[in-house]
Amino acid sequence: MNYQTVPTVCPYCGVGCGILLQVTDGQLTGTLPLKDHPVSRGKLCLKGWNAHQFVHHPDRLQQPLIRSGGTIREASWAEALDSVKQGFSRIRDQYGPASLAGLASAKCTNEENYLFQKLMRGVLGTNNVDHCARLCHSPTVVALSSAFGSAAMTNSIAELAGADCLLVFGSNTTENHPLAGSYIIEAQRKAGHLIVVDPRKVHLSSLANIHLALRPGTDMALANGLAHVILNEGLHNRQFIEERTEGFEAFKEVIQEYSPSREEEITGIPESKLKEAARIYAKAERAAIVYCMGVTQHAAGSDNVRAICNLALLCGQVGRPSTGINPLRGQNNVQGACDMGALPDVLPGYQRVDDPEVREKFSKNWNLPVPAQPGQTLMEIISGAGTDIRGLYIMGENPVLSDPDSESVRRALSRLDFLVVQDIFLSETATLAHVVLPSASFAEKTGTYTNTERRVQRLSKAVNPPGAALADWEILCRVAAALGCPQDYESPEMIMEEIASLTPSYGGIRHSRLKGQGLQWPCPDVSHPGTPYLHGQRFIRGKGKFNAVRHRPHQEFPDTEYPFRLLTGRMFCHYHTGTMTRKSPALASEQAEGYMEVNPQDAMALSVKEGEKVRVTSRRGSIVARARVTESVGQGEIFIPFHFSESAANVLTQKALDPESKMPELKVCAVRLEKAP
Amino acid sequence: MESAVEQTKILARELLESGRVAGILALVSEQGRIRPGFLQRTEEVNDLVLEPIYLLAPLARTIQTMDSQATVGIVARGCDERALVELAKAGQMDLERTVLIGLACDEEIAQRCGCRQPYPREIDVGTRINHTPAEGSSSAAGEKVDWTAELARCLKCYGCRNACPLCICPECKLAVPMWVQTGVVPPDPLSFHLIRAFHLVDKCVDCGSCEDACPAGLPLRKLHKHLLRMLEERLGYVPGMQVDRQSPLFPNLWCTPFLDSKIPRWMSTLGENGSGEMRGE
Amino acid sequence: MKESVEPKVLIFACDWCPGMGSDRAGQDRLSLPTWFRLIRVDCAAQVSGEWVIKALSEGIEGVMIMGCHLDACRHQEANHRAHKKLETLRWLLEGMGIAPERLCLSWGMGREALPFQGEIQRFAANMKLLRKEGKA
Repeated sequence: MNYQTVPTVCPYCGVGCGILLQVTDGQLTGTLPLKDHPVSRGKLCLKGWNAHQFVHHPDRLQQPLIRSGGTIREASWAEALDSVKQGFSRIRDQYGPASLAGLASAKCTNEENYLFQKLMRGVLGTNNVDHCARLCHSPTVVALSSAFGSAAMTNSIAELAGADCLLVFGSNTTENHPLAGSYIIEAQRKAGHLIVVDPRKVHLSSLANIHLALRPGTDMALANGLAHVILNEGLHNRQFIEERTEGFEAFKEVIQEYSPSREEEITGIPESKLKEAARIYAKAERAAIVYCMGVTQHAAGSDNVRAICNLALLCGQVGRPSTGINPLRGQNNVQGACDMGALPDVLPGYQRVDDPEVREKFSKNWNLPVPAQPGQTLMEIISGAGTDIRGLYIMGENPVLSDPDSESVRRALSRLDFLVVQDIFLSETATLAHVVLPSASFAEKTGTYTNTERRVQRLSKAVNPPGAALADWEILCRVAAALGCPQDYESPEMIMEEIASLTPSYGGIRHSRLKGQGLQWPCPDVSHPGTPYLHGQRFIRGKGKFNAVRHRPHQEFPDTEYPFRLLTGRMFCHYHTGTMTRKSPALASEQAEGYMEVNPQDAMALSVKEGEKVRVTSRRGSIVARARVTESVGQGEIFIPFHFSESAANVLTQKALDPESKMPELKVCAVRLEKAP
Repeated sequence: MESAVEQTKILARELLESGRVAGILALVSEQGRIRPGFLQRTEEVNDLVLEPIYLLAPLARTIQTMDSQATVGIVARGCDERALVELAKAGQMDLERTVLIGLACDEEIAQRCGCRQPYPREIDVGTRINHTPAEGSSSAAGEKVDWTAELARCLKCYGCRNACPLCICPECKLAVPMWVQTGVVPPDPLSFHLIRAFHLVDKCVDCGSCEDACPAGLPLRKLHKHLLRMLEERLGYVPGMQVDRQSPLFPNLWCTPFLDSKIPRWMSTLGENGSGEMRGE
Repeated sequence: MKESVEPKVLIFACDWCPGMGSDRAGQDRLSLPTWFRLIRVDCAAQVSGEWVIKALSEGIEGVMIMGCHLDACRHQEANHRAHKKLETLRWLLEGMGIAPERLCLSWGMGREALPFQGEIQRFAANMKLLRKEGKA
């Protein structure tokens, strides 16, 4: 009888809690918390406590699958790899490498994402690499780079507890990043002020000292309004602005337009509340801003984030512990996937592909050419499927459920000449593939994840993958070999050594150094201890930049035909497209099916009672979901979480894009409601 | 005089070499991470550590449930032992097949924890600390708790239940929609936490695992300590400390009457001198 | 939820002693508080703590368990056990800052019509008093 506990990292959200998997005779039997973990400190959320439950589910993919004609059949690895090689080579030869594209995985390890983009760029010859970060924090990458020079969370999660003011924009933290929420609660207990900006009443707003329930999509105006009050009352940090920033004058001019009364007009927040919040933030000793999807998932996402960065610069609340701008990255390794260059315009470490010196460096190391033309983003790849894009390689992503306008995604993917999907379950996207490759879950391989606070942590292998499933890095090596460029890595450890040699911020990262606490990048060399908070002495770009931005309304407003506003989001017991959580009994029983939140007045007008079915229709499609009648949404608004394929919020959402980051406006669209039989 | 860790390692090696146990549950430090391990070879003992406080009793139960013949060794603090005693009463552990390496908590840990007996009955490592819990420690009955405000912070992680050594029901009532509405956070405060505390009234051994596991910092121990104090005052029962005594909430009033009870003596005709003859049990 | 005029009170009454009292009270047309509901159970020991907790969490202000006299339970010592268990629930309510009087355990008072009426009226009056005092 064999019993062990294996320490590893939770596969769900970007907080990256340390967990212990309980293994009995080669099977996972439970999850326990890791008591000495720097972020989770012996605690876990509902998803973390059940991280093991989906791993041994009978639906796990165990064999490669090939679809020919109308049928899907099991195949051997040799056959599947040959099929992949034929498929991609044919398209490359006929249409050129730019007709191929790949979606990397924010759930796979750093080593795997690195290999993926190396495969797409070096072996297949295209920069068309992207992943779901496009749908969550791509505006963060754009805006934080332009303001500070680095696209990552400036401080660390544990530091949030030391802030005496927390300004949380568009983040339902206690449900979606619970262990980060834990620190926010701790800060508030110590008499800190919690200000929550959210159109809905969520758990965190019920705990807040001040809840600014603004109209959806007006965060920029609110941030500008706060800045106006701070400037007007002379509460800004003159010394900091003088010594460490640039662009203040232009910023000041634009802010003049955002008087409290104008701001109230746009956001709906009363002047008095605005002033109160502004004063608290500006006068705080250590004020931290935390934000998430409520800010980024808009067609004005990048500018929304810029507006928030301006506040931190205005009050000198960055570059010290327990301050800063703290985007909460969603997936367990979305930070890592971005760091590893699974993006169309940058290589690992955000080094630009259109820089000839950078390309030279990588192609020398890889012994493979690196294409110069920046590639297409996720939305462009999907909409170009069948025309510009003929072949697509998807690793660990489920665009049919996570991208806006699901029907168009399905149609687009069906138009592809060749689609390969590599996943652990037969997701909604995988059912459309020509070849499906079975991969190992987080518990069945080694590698590293990077959490939202830039902490690189090691995974440990606890059990073997089922059937013939292989770790994604092993699959990628075999695919590369099939395409004529074998990759000789014995282990993910070796891959990380290569990464470290090419990526300055990861320069000192080695598996052997990632004991216990992991390491927070920048970690330029092997003696560097990692970096808890950024921009201490100077900003990465030198001086912090004020970027003056003006409020832009949504793309799709409610009108007579579609009079309700749909807000999308998540809930605490499921994770994103539900591929893992809906196969976990403890989580699925907590919430078995989808729902829509509707205000009691609206429910009454529609004659809808709690639990009754409602048909929700937008210009893109229609779904049916059961009603939750609740005060958490205002009149004229509804909320639908996007986890449930049978009542998928993304059937309804629209594709208006943020011009800079190409982020679609997932947060808001217009719908109409009818009672369903 | 070796340190406590060294002494424990010596005893652990001896125990393994004696062949009495299938393995020993203890904390190990490996690659900078500290985790509970089931040590089965003497080389593994080299990595043994004693902190942080990690209740190993639930793992002992897991192992005995898996293997009904195995004798399990365990490095046990006072709280571990109390939990094992209660688990044995519930028929979940066989204490005959459990060998304890008794570890007494040192002054600092005892003060921080504040439980009433920071040492097992037989101490193999460490010295016995007798103390009254300091003010401000988690056991201080002290300030009143605003439970409405506190329970509003609950994240419904079920950590308190998952970490508790005595929460062992295969079908937990907390996950039954009839009693606690599912899919909502925070959970209805009365339902979730009241039901949990009520079900643990005569089982809680004041180990503090629930509070340690709570991400929202709820002062759960205060609630349990209140109940434990009432249980001791009114019924003279302390879970985990009285090995041979079953909970008074089990048998009948005439067996273990309230200390200020006015039930007449003639009730004992229902059972000799409160001998505990149960009918229909 | 708007507060009702009278405190909402839920009573679990076993079929035996209080059952008889309730029947007699009905036959004699005795006046009883308007906002109470009575649920009959085979034995008061059937009532488990979750039922009481659910009632309180749903907004019921007081729960009363009426059983037989402590020496006269139809099911031997079942009412003793119920008393011990539910008494601990009262400790819990107190520990959480909720008035423990909201759970009332009544053994054997409700056998006749008038005592039955008296028990209920007294309980309802207590609940009204708690409201006035603004207690949780």
